Amino acid sequence: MKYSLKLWGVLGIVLTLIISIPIISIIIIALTPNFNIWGHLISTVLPVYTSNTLLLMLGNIICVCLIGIPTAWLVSCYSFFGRNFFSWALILPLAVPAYIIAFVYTDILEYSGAFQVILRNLFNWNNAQDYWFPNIRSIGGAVFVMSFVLYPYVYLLCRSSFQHNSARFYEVSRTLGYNLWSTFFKLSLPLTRPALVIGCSLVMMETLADFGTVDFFSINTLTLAIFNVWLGMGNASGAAQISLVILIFVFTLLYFEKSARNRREYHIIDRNNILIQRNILKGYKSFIAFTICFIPLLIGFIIPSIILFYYSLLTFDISFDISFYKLIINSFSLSLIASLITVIAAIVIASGQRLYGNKFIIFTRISLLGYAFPGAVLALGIIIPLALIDNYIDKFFISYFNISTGLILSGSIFALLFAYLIRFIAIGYGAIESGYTSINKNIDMASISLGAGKIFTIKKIHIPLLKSSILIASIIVFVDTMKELPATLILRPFNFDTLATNVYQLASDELLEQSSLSALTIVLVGIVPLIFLTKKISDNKYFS
Amino acid sequence: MSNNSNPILKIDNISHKFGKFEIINNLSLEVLPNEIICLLGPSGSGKSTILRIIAGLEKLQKGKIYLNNKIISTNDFDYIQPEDREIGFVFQDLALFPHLNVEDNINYGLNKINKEIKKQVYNSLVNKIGIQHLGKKYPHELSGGEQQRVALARALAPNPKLMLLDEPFSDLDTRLREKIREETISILKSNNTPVLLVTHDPNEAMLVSDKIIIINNKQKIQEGSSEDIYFKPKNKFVASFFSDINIFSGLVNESKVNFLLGGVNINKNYSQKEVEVVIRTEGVKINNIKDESIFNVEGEISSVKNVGIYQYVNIKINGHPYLISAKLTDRLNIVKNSKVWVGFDPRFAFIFEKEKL
Repeated sequence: MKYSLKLWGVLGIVLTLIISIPIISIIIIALTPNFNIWGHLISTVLPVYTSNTLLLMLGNIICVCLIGIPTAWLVSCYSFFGRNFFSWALILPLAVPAYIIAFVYTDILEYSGAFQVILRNLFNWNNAQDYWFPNIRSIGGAVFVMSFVLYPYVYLLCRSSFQHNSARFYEVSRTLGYNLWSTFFKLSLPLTRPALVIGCSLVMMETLADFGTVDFFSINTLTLAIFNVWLGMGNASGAAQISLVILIFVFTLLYFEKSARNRREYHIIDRNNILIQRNILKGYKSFIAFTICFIPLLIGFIIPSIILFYYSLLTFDISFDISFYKLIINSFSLSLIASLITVIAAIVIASGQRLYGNKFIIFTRISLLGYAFPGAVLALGIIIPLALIDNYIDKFFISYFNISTGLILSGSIFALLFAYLIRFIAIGYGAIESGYTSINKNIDMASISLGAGKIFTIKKIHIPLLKSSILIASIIVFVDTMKELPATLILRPFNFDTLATNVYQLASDELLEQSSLSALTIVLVGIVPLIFLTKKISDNKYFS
Repeated sequence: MSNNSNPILKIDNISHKFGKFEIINNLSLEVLPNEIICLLGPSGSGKSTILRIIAGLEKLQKGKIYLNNKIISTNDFDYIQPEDREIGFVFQDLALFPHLNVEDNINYGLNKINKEIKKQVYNSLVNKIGIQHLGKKYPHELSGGEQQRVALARALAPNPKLMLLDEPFSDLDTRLREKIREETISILKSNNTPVLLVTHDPNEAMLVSDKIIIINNKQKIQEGSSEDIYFKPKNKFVASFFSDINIFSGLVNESKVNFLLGGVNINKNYSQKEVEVVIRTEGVKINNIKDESIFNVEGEISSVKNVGIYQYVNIKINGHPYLISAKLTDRLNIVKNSKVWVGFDPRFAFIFEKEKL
């Protein structure tokens, strides 16, 4: 037992250290700049970057709430035409990365896009002076495209809260004289607040981390600024300083999210698993409910999928060649290795937490922070220390063996895998931990009282019981790795392309049609974990 | 049923299914003004579903429900929404709103009346229930008993025509349960609110109710006062629900049924010659010496356990395949293997026809 405690302690410390490397290095670089542009940043661009970022976050949370809350309420409390379909289909937009939907809608909605061409032909307008049309490449445009793929976070959490957490409360409310509608404002909405705060925090983190959309729309956010200052101006310290500002945002969001999660403990979990009696809507009311649910699905999933599918068919002969195979092999093998490493690390953390509880919690907390860090910040925090280590290794091999090892860590997929591990370990942990909660703790006691050690217990009892959770964790990490853009873009080895980087490069060059097969592949693969997610919701568990 | 006053609640032949599983089959019952009625039955017998149907939280599938002689629920469209029924409901898990303090929880149902009256109603209610000091506290800061009182106050605040209580005391520990139960019933009685209470605890049912309705196997088995049901159970199930029982086979012989421990007088005809005699464990009597009038069957003590004022005894009698159990209030000086004489109290003896398998 002592031996295994030590082993887990060491593993915990190692993982915690690994995961803290990027944060520590960013803080060090930012505070010890060799070329200080801090003052310059503050007096010139930083206010713009920050206000753009804030505007984008604000716009996104308003829009995701306007989409997510009513749809969640409708499918939870009413029966109408298509309700069963929408109840799971409304999460489909999660499969579409924000940068892909941005490419698609820019293609349709910009001046030369199909939509404006149709308008011009319809109304005989000749040029842009004849009419007004909002510019898609703007903050408003970014809010539009991002909120239609991010709203499922709010939808899922609110739906879960409406349906399960407070089903009993609706009943009390109704016996006390409130109908469904007044119960919504008086009771359901306030009760959903913690879920809403979590949903909005996740949306804001995603917004903060987004690179593809803002880059494509040329909106100077903090994340884009890291790219510009670091890769454009070659100033790593400046980029680290901007990253510090982002980290302040991140920790504020994490604080809100965490306190919202804590508050959920006050909620009485419904033991009898009572579901709300749904009110039946008929006629025009059913039609309105249908429309409210259909629009987000149409904009966030159906239209982008149809367009990508159509373009894929058009360009299939050109796109489907040996280079596409290469992209598939790169993406799949990278995602596979990343999910393997990440899930193993997640199992270590989850089982350490299970076996040692409070003694382990500090390792768990720190290890899980990574999900909140934007890929660009991570990349910066990883590449600088790795390059430093590379230099030492290189010097060592040159002086003793006269061989140059080059950038053996920072220039290889090692750096990428490192970034994925940090970014996605929390997701893997979440899935495995939720599996752990369904294993009675007395089972551990039974195993140990029968003379089995802790490692033996994990091997013989936990892992077999966690099989499906491990599978789910692997799939979710696999898909998220495949979709990840900013860190991949920065950290990938020279001439190493994945589906995501391929889509980004072609679309940035206005070659959406050629990129559509890769984009469609990402979307299709992205649907797989949603199936598990749907199952998880129907099993009456929180999405977290 | 012949009653002078009109029932507040009348349930007329309701049936209910969950998917293919029938939960309730043709059940009828009435609740009179000021009456406290207990629905008593084993877990899973559909008691809670009956309450949920009455409150309108479950849609009625078959039958009719009347409140004050007005139909509130049928399987047709004239279905009154739960919020318009004026029926109070206290749930087993209480379901206090976690984000509202005690005052707001209690005032929740008082939204339709003006502020002044609302304040009066609130004050008189919290004073009556003794929770005036809890107003600003949140549910998670309250003890189990306090939560219970708040849930009661919240349900009473809108002055419901009928109160439904679904196993409301089952989460409290034994001592507290007795106290809160007494308080609750006296408040409801003083309020003149008719009550339909669901429980699976026969003692609770006997302690609080004016009338008990036994539910088992989707149906009403028996209805009556606690005395009636305890001393005149309709069948073996009802008898066994209130205490442990011994079962003997008996032979009908004109106006008597003879069995192992003696004879029981009967005043009705049985279709079979062979019947079952059921004796409550508290009806079995034993003595150290023989007494022809009562104690005339010899037995041997197989085990003795003293619990408080009770003595639980198992007795072996030659020729009888099972041990006979007795729950004695007058302790005897006996040990294992003591020879004793066994008799019974005819008030605790019941004759049933043998159930067909």
